[in-house]
Amino acid sequence: MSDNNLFDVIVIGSGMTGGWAAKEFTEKGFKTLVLERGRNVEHLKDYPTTNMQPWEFEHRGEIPNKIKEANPIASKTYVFREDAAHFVVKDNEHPYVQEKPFDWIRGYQVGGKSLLWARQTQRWSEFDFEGPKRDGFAVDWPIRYADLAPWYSHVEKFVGISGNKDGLANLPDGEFLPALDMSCIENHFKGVIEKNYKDRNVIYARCAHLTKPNQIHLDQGRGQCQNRNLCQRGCPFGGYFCSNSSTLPWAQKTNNLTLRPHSVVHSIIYDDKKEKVTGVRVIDAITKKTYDYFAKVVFLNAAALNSNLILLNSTSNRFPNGLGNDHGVLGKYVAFHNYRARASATFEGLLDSTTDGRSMTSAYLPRFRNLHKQETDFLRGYALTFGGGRGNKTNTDGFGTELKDQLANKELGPWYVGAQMMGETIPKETNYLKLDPNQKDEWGMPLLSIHIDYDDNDDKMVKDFTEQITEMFTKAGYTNIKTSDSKQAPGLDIHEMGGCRMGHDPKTSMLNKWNQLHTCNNVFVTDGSSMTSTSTQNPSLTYMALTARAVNYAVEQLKKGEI
Amino acid sequence: MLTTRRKLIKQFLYVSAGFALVPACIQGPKGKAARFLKDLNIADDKELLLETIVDFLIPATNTPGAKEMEAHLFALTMIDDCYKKEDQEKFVSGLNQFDAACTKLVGHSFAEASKEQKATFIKSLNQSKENPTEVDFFYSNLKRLTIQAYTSSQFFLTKVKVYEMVPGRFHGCVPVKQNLN
Repeated sequence: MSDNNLFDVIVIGSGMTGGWAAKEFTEKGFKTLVLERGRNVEHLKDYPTTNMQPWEFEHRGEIPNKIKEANPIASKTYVFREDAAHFVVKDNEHPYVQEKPFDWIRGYQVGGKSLLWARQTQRWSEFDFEGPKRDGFAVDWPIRYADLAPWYSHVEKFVGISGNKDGLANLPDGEFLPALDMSCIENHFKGVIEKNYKDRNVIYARCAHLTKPNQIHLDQGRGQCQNRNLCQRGCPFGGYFCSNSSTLPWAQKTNNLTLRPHSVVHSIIYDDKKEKVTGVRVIDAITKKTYDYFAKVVFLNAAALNSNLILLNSTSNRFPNGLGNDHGVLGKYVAFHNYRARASATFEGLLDSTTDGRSMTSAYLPRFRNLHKQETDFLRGYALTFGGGRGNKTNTDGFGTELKDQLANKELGPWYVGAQMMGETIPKETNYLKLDPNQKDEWGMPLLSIHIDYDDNDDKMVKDFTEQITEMFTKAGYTNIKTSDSKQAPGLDIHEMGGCRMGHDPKTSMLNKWNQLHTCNNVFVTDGSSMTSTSTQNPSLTYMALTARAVNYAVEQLKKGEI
Repeated sequence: MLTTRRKLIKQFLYVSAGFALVPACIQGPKGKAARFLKDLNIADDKELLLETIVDFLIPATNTPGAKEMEAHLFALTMIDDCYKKEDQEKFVSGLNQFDAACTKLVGHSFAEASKEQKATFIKSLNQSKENPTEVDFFYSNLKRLTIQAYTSSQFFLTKVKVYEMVPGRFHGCVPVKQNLN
């Protein structure tokens, strides 16, 4: 850690977008301080479970009951298992207020949730950016697909995305490394769907894996993905993208990076006389001492909800209600993805075939509802993932040598298939965050109070998905079709977005088209909090592209002396 | 490319070497139950009974069985750490009634019963019957955990159904017979 507290740039957060801001700024020669509230996690060194065999886990992956009971929220996420629970925030360490049920899944460490993400990287399309304006909700996005397309390319080349050029307007192509095979069952589903529905396509879901690394990836010290599918432990090959294996070490190599873990950001410091932000106030997570760091520009990348919290807590004479919040929009219009509905079935065909090895992705059916115009009684639509495989027929009846022989049986059962909906939700003023007026955490930060819920539109979408997937599975000849609505609380999708939205108008939005605060031009917010609407696609790729684009703009402005 | 590959393998080994430092507590139970159990209180004779049952469920043949894998100790670890209090109590209560139930049906405790008598008694136990007893609950859970211990053991995953940690490939569609290793 530098003794100096003066930098060119301060980046708050070291996850998906903080890592990108750090990479872009340090590469361009800017002395950059990255603040991370959690501990350091160094690539390779801090992946304690990465090479453990299944039998080496004391509970074979299961989390002990006492830990589950102490962590009812964290326990709900699929990554909270014996191999990766150390990367998930424990409930009692970081409390928050649920005005309505919200499962807030967090990763407080260097690399943040980029260590744990599902690595799905689908571009957004023009249909997504024009959505709010066309359908009359939220505010108009101040950018369109064409503004972001070159930045998607910029990010994809560095991250390494496996995919096919599918030529779909609703899921634009990008810069791809080779795709893996689709499985026989995925190809079967694709055949059935594309024959029966003119407007539906099934593709190989693009993912952030190095299927065939280029020089730029080898230069990062990363190598080819080995299909382990144990990504959440941290990858010894650097086969998938995370800040820890990619952007942060890259930034480190420039000698322009200072990384400060254990740094809880209290607020962004606004100087009423200079009429701009001068730095960031930090509470050391361990000593609880306060430190101020100063810079010309601040990038806020603390993850969607925490970026809102920091802005709300950054008060001054000029901004008594939070930095940039002249209108009360800050913390409002939060949205997420509706992941409630699933379907499963079996298929008795293709019994002479199976898969070999492991895939890191699945098949993907991009949004088809209300794509070109409004057609249903709900707004927007959903995409879905589709996957399947065959397992051994396992008969656990009986005992003795008979049971032992049965357990060794390698005969394969039928294909099992599964699909999950990924629905767009509509940002609303009534879905909001605020600071709890009374309660504080152990660092003296006010607790975040969360008031977010589904609405009628989401219920209609669940119903439509359930009907449509049943029809599609039926047409495909699948049997034992089961559908379910988990009714899970918002949050478990881990795609919370908004609260500090982009927009044309400073009266109704926080950020301009460059992710720059309308009313304070040396602060940029480029994580999920900046999203005007949610689309159906996994958002990380878009956050990264927005970040790289915003850094490029900030650098131009710095050079011109505008900020 | 070659250097890079070497470098990556080195990285992989470097990370593997870190495992020598992993504390013994996550390596799985080694000692007797009493030494590692936190909530459960299992007498030595009951531990022996558990060993006898798992040995009966998945016996050693020309390959090791559940007893050799200490499946009973794994089962106790799971019950101790991963079960709710009321289920822990049910399990222990079922264990404590097990021999009495066996004696009632076949005239001998489980350890003293003949192979046929053991089979007769085991066949009478079933958690999914209309009014399952605590013995049924105990047996069904022990059996499930015994199967889990056996099928997730190093022996099973390296010799019977091989778990590949690093497949390095994915083929989406292969003929079934190729897949039977």
